Amino acid sequence: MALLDIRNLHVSVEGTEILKGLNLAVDAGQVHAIMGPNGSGKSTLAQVLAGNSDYEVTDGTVKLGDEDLLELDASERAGEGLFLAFQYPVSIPGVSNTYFLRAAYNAVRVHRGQPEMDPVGFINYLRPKMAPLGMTKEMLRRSVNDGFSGGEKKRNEIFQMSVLEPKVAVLDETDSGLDIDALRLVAEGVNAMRSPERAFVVVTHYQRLLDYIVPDVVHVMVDGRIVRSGGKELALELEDKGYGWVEELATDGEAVTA
Amino acid sequence: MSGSNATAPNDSSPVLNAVGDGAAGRFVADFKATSGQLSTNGQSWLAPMRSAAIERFATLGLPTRRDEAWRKTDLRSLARTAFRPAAEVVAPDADAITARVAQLAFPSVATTRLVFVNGRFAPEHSDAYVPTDAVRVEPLAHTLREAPELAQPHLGRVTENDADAFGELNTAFMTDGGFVLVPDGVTVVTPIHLIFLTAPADGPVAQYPRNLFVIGDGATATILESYAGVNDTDVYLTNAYSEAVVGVEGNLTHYKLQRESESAYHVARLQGRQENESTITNTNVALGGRMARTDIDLHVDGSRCETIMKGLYMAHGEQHIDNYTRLDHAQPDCHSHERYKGILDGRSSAVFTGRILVRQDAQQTDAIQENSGLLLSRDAALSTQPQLEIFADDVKCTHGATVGELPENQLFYLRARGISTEEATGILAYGYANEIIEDIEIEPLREQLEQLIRLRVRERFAALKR
Amino acid sequence: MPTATATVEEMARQQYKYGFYTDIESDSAPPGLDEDIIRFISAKKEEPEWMLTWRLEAFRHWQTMTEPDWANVHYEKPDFQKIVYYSAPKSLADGPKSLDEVDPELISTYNKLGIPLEEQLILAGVAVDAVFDSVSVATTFKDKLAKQGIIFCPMSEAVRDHPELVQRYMGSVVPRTDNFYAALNSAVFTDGSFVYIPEGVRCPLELSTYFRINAASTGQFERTLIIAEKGSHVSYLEGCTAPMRDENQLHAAVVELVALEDAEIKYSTVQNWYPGDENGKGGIFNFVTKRGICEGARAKISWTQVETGSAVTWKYPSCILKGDDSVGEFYSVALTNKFQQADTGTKMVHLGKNTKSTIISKGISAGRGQNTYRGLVKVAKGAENARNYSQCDSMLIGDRCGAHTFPYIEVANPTGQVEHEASTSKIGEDQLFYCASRGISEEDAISMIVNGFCKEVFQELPMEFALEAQKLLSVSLEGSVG
Repeated sequence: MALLDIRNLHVSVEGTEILKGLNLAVDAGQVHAIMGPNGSGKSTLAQVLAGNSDYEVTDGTVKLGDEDLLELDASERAGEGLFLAFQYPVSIPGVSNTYFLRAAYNAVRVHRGQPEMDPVGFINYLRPKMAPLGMTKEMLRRSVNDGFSGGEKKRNEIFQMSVLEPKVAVLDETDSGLDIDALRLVAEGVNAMRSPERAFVVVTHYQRLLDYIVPDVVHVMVDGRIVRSGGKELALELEDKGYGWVEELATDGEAVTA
Repeated sequence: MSGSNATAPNDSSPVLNAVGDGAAGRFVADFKATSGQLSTNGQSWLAPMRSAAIERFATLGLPTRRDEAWRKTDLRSLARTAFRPAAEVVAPDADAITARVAQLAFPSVATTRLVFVNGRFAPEHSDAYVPTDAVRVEPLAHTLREAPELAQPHLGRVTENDADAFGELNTAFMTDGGFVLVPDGVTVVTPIHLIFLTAPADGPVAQYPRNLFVIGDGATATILESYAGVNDTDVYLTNAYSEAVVGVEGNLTHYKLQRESESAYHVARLQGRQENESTITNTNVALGGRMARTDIDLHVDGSRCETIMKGLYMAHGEQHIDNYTRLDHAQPDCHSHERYKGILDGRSSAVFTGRILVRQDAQQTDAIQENSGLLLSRDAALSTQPQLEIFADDVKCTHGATVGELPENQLFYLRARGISTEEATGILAYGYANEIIEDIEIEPLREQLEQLIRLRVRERFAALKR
Repeated sequence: MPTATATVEEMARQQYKYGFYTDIESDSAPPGLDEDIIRFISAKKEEPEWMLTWRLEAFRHWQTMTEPDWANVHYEKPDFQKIVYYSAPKSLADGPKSLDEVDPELISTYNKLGIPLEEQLILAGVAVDAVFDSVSVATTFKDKLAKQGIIFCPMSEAVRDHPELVQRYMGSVVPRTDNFYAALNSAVFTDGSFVYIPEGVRCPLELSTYFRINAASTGQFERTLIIAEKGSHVSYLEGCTAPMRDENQLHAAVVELVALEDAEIKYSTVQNWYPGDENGKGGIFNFVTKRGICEGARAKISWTQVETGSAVTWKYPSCILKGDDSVGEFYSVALTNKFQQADTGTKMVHLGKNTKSTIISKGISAGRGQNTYRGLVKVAKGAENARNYSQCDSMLIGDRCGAHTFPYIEVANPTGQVEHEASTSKIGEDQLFYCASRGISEEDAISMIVNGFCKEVFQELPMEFALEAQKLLSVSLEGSVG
């Protein structure tokens, strides 16, 4: 059974249908990349999975393990092990990063029936996770994403992921706005977390990220549907031929599966 | 107050006789009845000062909503309540007072503490008073008896403008309060904590604390005023008045923490004056009171001064909190930064007025004012009125005001990290207030406030679940 | 002071000296105000009985009121018993016979402002019949409008010809008891415009050119009412960039706008009345009540004003956003020079759901001018998701003037978002130096910087008017620096 199982998902925003019957099954231990032109619905998928109520699910099912994800609110989904690395991480002036992380970590623990961790224990828990992502103490002291550079924000997202240890992580355009060094750092952070129990959905516009996070499956999304799926070589083919190639396939109404 | 040369109280005063038997009339009647007992501390000038003040009060009357400065604060319930001047408290309440003082004190931080109950010094709850020739931290009444020359030049004269009706009322009835004198060049490291309590009584009482802070040239001090009731539900009126003068290169850090009973009325005024290159940092925290009004009126009479005014108010239930600040820039090259934030819940309401005056000579003034409010409930209401009055052309003045609820995207971000809506609201409300709280140097006070914000948010969600 | 500003004022005074209109026809009312005077006004205008009753009720209420003093303006209160409340429309025949008879300085100001010849004639009070038939032009406009069912006529005509509309809407937005000056206006209003746009009609013209021609006769107690039916659209422009001559010291106008579902009213004002002399003597008192209501859903009312004239201005064009999703806008440039005082701003009252308002106010103070922005943004309890953005910027030129900002914000709904920003600045020496080093004179540089400062407001004005407004600002500022 797939760890994340999306069937016939239809989603509208303010009356306009964005996702039009999307199917996606991701097994534990796998990395799936979702590529597609701008406006194809990639970020909508990420937001819907996380439970943003601005998006209206009009049909379909989403399961995380045995749980019906669509029945849960955003915080319950996180408790069940879903993590979204935001494309645009939100800044929260006045709330320190450490405080925020501990609140999130403990919320997830409580959801799982585990005891809360005290501040000292939490700092000890954080410490080994910082260096690989180049997180400094100073960044932890600062307000959440407030005054962070684009790269710092994205690193902070991956850092949060490593702290919260989700079952399914959705990375929404985590590569955008990153220089090559930051990209490598972020990719290493993700790769270090790959495990047989965990699945990743990597949403990206460019093939570049996939040089570092090598996917098991690549999907191409056009106009709210997955129109083609294949191995990692599909990403290279896309890079080569451009999105026009798959867009044509989409207009033929032909969904091609590898 | 220029009234020290006025005549003694006089039953035939036409102003006092004309005041009628409304709320103002009750205060005047009380004054007539008790003025003989009001202490003059052996000072012949005090009685005329009091009677001149009650005459001006009688002329002004209690403010109404027709007064621009009271447009959004309804004093009718205060006016309907007959407050008697609070009497001296004798032993019976000592335990309750001790318990209350313990709650308000910060045991983990060294402070010099003076406690006043019903406007009178309570030595048994205060730190031992050690008179020295240098720094003075003592009851004002003591100063007036022992060294009046230190207080008289400043009392009621820190700034030129007359006080409003409540200020006059305080001068008429004032009992005691803190007197702090820091001589030139001296730094007082230990924060001075003045606690003002109102003890339970048979009916509503009014207390009139009066403080005077004289910070010399190059001197530094930190003063915290705490106001509370001995009981959380008592009905009373606190009418407090503080004056502060800060000399050349002096530095005053002043906190006011208002935690009155939520059935009480609180009207307080801080009147301050700054000389060249001095600094005043004022933090005004308002949490209690059924109706609480604080006036802060700072006159920057020196050049190259720095003035920081910060405020945090939190109201719930039926509370009404009104902060009226006025900053008068009269001299060039000064900086001021004012920042007020409020969190309103329940059916509470609040008013913020921030008036900044930049006079013609105050060139190169750099004044920033920000105020914002967070409404947690559908029934809360906030009224804000920033006012800029600028008569100098080479200045930088900005102000911004925002009112609204917590941003949806922040709430979603927290919830997407597994944090419940309730806790997310608490975290965000704290983050919102943190800008004001984070600079508070008295750490236990900062922690108290942090806890209180959480408590309020939790209380709110508990109410929703009911 | 040999500057153009002085010249403009000079002209305003000279007009009094020339006394174009001083020889008032005999059928004017004696000075003073009582019920008989109101009956006289009503009779002269051949009004129906209900209109007289309406006026008398307003007058009786006015007598119980006192003149407000909360505004940040100081002036000698007018003696209401010394004012003449009615004089018959003046005949053009008394004016100069051609532009040759008009002071060349005035003509030069008109040219500076780029006012077309025909309008110059009218503004200068030249008897235009010979050269320019205003009646026929007006008739042409009227025919064009009438074809679409649009009513556009003097208020006195509307009272006679469209009593059902006037009775239904007059006083519905600004009640007779609203304030001291509104009550006075309701009792004694002389004339003004009446506009009715039928359902779904988009008014094909800016109602401006026509108005300019008519402007001279509106008098000191102007009363305007604009009704935009469902889905209609109208843009109305009052005033004129040219210095308006007027011997009435007190102006107390009332303007009411009613926008029904999906209707849009855009109301633009350029006010350049006589501001008084170098020493602050004379000048118009301009005490105006302007208010619009977005009665229906998705209605929109937009006020744009450029206020450069008058000695004292007291004016708050407001929007009551009653319909859901309705929109209110206020764009203002107020300039005070010499001894001018302005206390102006707006009120945005959010009642309906998802209502939006925008306030952009630019105050410029020069000379000894005092400029006050006073505005209220109110979000009522039921106004879900109301949004307001306000920006109030002040600029001071010289060190004898003042800029004051008094925004009132009242929010009683947590879903409301109200944002207010204000700033005060001066023209930087470095800016002037930079311009000078590029060969731009100080006066041009100031004009350039001030116009840049006001850009957000000017771009709300109809195109050709925006250009005039820019020139007007430059002319009004001449001589304020150096």
